[in-house]
Amino acid sequence: MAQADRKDNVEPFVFPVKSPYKPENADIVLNGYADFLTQDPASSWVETLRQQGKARVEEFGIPSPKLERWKYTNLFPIEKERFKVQLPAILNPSIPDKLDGIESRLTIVNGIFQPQLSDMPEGLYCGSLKSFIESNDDWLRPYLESQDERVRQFDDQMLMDLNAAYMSDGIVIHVPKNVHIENTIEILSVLAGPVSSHPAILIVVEDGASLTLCERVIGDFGWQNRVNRVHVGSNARLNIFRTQTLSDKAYFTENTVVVQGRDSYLQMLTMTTGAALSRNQYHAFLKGENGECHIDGTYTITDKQHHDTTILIEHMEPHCYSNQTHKGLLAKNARGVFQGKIHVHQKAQKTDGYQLNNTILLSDTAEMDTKPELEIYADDVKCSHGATTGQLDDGPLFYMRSRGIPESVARKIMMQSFLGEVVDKIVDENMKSYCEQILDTWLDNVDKS
Amino acid sequence: MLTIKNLHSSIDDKEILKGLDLEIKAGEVHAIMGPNGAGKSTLSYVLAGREDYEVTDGSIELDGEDVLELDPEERAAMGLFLAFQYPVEIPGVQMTTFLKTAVNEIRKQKGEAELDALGFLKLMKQKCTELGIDQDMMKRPVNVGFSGGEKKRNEVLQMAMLDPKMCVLDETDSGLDIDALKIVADGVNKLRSENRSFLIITHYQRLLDYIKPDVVHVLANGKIQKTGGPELAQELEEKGYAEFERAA
Ligand SMILES: Nc1ncnc2c1ncn2[C@@H]1O[C@H](COP(=O)(O)OP(=O)(O)O)[C@@H](O)[C@H]1O
Ligand SMILES: [Mg+2]
Repeated sequence: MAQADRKDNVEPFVFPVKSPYKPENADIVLNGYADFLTQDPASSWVETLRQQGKARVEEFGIPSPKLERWKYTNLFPIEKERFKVQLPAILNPSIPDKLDGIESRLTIVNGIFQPQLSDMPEGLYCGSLKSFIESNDDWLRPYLESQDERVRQFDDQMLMDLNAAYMSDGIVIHVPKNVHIENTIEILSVLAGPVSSHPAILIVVEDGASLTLCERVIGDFGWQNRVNRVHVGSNARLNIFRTQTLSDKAYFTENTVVVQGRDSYLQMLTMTTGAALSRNQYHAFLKGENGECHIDGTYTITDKQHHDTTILIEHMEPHCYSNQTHKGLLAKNARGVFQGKIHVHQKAQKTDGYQLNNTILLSDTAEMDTKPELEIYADDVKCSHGATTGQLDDGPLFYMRSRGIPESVARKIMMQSFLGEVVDKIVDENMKSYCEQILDTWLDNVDKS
Repeated sequence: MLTIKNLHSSIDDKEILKGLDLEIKAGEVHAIMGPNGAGKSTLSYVLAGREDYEVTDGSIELDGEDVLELDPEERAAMGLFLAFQYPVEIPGVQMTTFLKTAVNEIRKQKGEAELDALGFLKLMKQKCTELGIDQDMMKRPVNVGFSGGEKKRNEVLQMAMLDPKMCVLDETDSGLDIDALKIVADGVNKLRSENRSFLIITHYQRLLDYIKPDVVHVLANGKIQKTGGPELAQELEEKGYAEFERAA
């Protein structure tokens, strides 16, 4: 009876939902886009990818803190800089020597491959993305076209779209089936000048192959917004060790999409000391049984630096193992963000997922936001996560001092041992000592002033 | 060697030491005995320079130098050593690294040449053997996963390595079985010399059967209540501390 009285023609009042998107910001990042297209015309399928990317950027802008996964990282400082893409890069920055023990190096400057600054390795296919696009269409295309369905499901991938809009160059490394590359290969990525760059790095390690990569991201100015696509085939093995030591006037954002096959192994370890603002985002798909995925990192930042690590690991098949170990030191007004998630699909029984985020605040004004998450749809899994944020422990500090170790030395020892859990995972000895050196310098300077 | 006068100390605004006097001469071994909560560990921490213990009055001098002015590391370099009642775990820092840093930082502060890796290892090996410590322990992180006995032996090892002139041992006997106790006492006895003094803090008389003190003090309610010879320890073992706790 009561229902009959209801006036069906009156719509219930709904509060207007404020859109989390800022399409008005598209103009900022697409400023000069027409010039870019004229200077760097592309083949038809790349052109299509560019247009799709651009269309989405125009529709959604670039991510704002109103989006759930962007709550703690505001890209406003980058917007404010009004960076433009500049082509061609007529640049000859001074670059450091190759790392000890390294013979082959691939160098990009502002995202553009530099053959004259590179020493090509043998036994695999590699080189500039641009040259691969021009000559190697068929093999390459699916890797760049396929936006993985689930990556697409997230509505905050505008930085990937922006990268696609400017698709032009980058690096391709392709290790054929069953080929083991014994010598570590270095990637040197240089930011030079106050411009933006949007390179794509494609790394494909085919079934049964193996490779170790070291990468350094260096430079004084600019913004790199890159996409890494990492494919590790069945029984294949890939280690990537990276340092990002940009100046605190540079910006670094990246999206890494990982696809792993059966019995594959991936380790990707990133040490961050640089950039005014950086965000390393990873989305890994364990698509074959018994895959193993390590995504690790350290962040040691100071002053007004901001660093964000955002990870989603998807266990899609049974018996996979994943490990995220992330440790950081935040000094002065530094701000850190860690959002790590393990998603276990219903089918992925016997998943073993591990996640750890520990941060030490070295000042009262440093700040850490950490958000570990588990989403589990299988019933027979082992997942653990832990997050702590605290100060350097007084007890060990006093104990060491009572043994004659000066406070500054004692603090350094404690900070080193804190980060040691991650640093010790670097199995490439040369890269490890390079990383230790960088941390050493950072630690020596952080307690001063 | 060590002169403490009218020492008052508090933690969190609660006064623990309420006018403590103590004089230890070079080469002497003194024992401080007292009930739980008397302030024994507080005294040892104040001596070593722990920052959360506030000294509100009084003085501490080591060979005429004002100790209260100094940082913990400076006190260590002067030759003051505290064997902790509860040795601290330092995950991720290997014993060898820790000890080598300590030995060399003290040498640096004293203006002496640092030991090289070989010289250090030789010294460490010798001291480990003397104290019946397994060398493998030196590869483990400081005190992490050590048994109670291992921790206490490790304190004595550090003491032997750092060669201090004033050694304070805070309940080094607690938690030790009789064999471990003998090893520890033996280690201490070997270090006894006319230039080195000891302050042995203990709750039980047992340790003093193996390390013979010259002087015994009773600490209760933040003050030395009574001072005597070794026979005082025996007396306390029989009568307990009730008399002194009532006295205050
Ligand atoms: N960190 C602290 N905060 C507050 N009270 C403390 C602290 N440490 C010790 N105390 C108090 O000080 C008193 C003396 O403690 P302590 O010196 O450890 O005694 P003892 O070593 O003789 O057993 C006790 O009442 C204890 O509860
Ligand atoms: Mg005590």
